[in-house]
Amino acid sequence: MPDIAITGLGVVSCAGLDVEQTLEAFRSSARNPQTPGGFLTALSYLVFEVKNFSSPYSDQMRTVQLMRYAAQEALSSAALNEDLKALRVGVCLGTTVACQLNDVDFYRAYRKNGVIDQTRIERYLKGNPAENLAAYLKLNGPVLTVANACSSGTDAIGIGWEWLQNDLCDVAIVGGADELSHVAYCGFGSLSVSSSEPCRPFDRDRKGLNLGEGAGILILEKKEVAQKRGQKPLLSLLGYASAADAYHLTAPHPEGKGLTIAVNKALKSSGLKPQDISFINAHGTATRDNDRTEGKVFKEIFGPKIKFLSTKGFTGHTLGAAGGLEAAFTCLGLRDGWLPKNIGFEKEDPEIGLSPLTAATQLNGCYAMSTSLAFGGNNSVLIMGIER
Amino acid sequence: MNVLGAGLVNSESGDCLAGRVIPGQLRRADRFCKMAICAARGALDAAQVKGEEQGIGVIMATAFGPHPTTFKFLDNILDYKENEVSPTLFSHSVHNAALSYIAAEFQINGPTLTVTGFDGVFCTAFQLANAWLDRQTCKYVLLGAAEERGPVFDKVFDIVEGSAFFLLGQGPRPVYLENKAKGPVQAGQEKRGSMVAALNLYRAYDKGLSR
Repeated sequence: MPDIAITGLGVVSCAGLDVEQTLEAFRSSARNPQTPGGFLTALSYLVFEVKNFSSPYSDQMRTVQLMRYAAQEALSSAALNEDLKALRVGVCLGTTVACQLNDVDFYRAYRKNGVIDQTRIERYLKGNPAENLAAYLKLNGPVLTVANACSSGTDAIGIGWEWLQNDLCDVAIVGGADELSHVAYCGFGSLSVSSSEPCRPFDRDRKGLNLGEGAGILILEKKEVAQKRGQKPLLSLLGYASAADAYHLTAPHPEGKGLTIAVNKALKSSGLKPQDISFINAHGTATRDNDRTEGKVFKEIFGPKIKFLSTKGFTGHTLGAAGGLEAAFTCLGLRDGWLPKNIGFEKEDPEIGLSPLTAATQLNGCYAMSTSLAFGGNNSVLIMGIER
Repeated sequence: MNVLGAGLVNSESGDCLAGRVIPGQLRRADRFCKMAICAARGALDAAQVKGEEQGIGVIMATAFGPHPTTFKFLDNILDYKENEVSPTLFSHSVHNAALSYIAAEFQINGPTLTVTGFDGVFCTAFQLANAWLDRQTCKYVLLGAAEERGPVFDKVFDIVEGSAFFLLGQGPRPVYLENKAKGPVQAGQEKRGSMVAALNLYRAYDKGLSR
């Protein structure tokens, strides 16, 4: 099987408009969730909205603007802009918002006079993230958008890895993107999982999630392709697995059945053992059920001393983008040998019996894991490594 | 790769769900989910494979997803206060709700993946299913497509409604999967939804069986 290198990273979220800004926010433990500015609402749930963001693609869906912005950073950091046409490049991206026409203004107008606004339809058709990026960059590899709710970004990265393993492309642009949506804001509120306070992943007194928006993009390529281009990749994607709870439409399996299967399969696919994993970037939404389930599985598989954190305290829950952003943050943790604290955490939950990182932490391990749990019961796991 | 079994529900001759037995635990499922569950059951039954058998992965392609449910949820937002909207409608408005039901109904613990697009999405899903079998990620792949019609999109698109699922497994590759030039999973007419390509595969499979 070919080694799969990670040669480029691009991120945009409330924590920062690129990798450097994001790391600065992590270092300073800065966060500023607010009530939404992008739409009018009577609800009081806090969100992590991307501010001071300008894009040359203002005619496109905001999800696409965020996605292209992060993709540009990822491609630049991989030094890939010029080489794209000479390679078989696939695109696999996750989203939740961009695959639906959940446009309240469009639908209000339709209900009022029965008229369809064709410009909104065109924008919806052109808003499929993977198809949009493949068309924009004139790419010739496989193209797929994943709509697996909150694990979409992680699954998209895993599929890119599988494409490369099966020689379906030389390079894969992977990750996820999602904008804040009034519809999702009301929907998560209706499920009683949103919080009007800044989220507190894994904390005893956590009250729920804060939605966010953003994009996280990775460039994957066969190591020999990267080396041929003169790159010296340090980071690798070593394993991926996904498993269903087969339990409930919105709640995770209480014993973490699917997550346990996915973690064990991902370890097997990477040839690693639990003790090899130096840290986990957890899904950590700050909902009662998610954090309890994840904590239970971490404790059972990795033992009580496992280092883990949720970065959603900095970004909010960015839905389809979360897997992409968190995979990128996992890579940065390995690259820099440094992790921020799990912001928002104060008191250990006796139901979990584990604490995430309570302070910024140096590390020198070579392997790390990123987990995603989705609405619908899908659980997905990535394992990254670094050569030291 | 071989197609071990296939299931189809479509609306070519009336309501595709008429006369089908929907178990009580699926009472909250919307039409999109029910179509997909019925087609998936057909594929598993035809192949005589039980869902709980180890090693089944599921991939479902859809262009438009459960848009009538999405619009019903928007009706909620427009007609009621924001804190009075239905959580049931919201949880069914996401594209992957159907696979959640399928995993729970057939006790499948393998990967469940919903993919979406307007340009050859079923074909790319088929390619990925092949990769999963080649790499032995799964012993079987339950590959499907589902589309639903509704009043808003009927004004714009000519969606082919229904769902088709195929249980794919290792085995001699049948003739109808070898015809790459005019293959059963060609892209095309994707603005009509993913069922166009899935129906091509179903018809080829059906013909292949009856030859």
